[in-house]
Amino acid sequence: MPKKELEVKAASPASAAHPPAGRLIGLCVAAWLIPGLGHLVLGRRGRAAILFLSILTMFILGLAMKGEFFTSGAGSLLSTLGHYGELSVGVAMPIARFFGYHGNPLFVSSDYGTAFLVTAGMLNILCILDVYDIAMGRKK
Amino acid sequence: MAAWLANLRHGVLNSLVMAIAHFNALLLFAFFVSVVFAVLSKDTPRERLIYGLKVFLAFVGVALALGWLMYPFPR
Repeated sequence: MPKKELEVKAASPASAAHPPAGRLIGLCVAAWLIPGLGHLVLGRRGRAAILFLSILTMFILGLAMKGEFFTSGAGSLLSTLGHYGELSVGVAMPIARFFGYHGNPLFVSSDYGTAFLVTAGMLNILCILDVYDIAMGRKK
Repeated sequence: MAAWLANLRHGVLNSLVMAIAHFNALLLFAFFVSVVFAVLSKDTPRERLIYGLKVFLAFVGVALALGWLMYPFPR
C-alpha cells in the first residue's frame, strides 16, 4: 500500500474524534473574550497564563502610551481594519472604553501605543487559531 | 460612592501615562511578540526559549538594519 494512503488511513480515527461544533465555537469565543481562556479550558494552564499576561500587558502598555481606538465608521479601510484588529483583543477594549479611556493622538508615544493595541488583538487571533488546532487534535 | 465610581470610571485609565523612546518601545514590542510566538509555536520550554530568543533578536536586528539603510534618506 502506498505510504500516503497509509498516512490518510492512520489520520482518519483522529478526525472522527473531532469535538462538536458548539464546543469548538465556545472555545474560540472564550479565547477571543479573554486571552488565554481557551487554553485554560483545554487544560493548558502554563500556556494560558503566559498568553494572558503577555497580551494584556501589551494592551495596557498601548493604553499607557495613549494609543488610539479606531472606529469602524470612519470611511477608511485601514481605520476599519484597525478597529477590528483592536476588537480582537476581547473584552479588554470595551472595558477600557467603559472606564472613559480616550487616546490622545497628539501624545508623543501615541503611534507606538496604537501599534501595541492592534498587535495585542492580532496576537489574540493567533491564540484563537491555536485553541482551534488543539481542540481539533492537530496540535498538542 | 457614586462620585468615587465616576472618578474611577473617568480617571483610572487616563491617569496611566507612559512616554517612551522609540528603541525602548521596539524592545518591549519585540519581547512580548517573541514570547507569544514562542509559546504558540513550540512545545517544550527549551525549544520555546531558543525560538523566542531567535525571534527577539531577528526583530531587533532587522529594525536596526532597516534603520541604518534608511539613514541616508531622512525624508
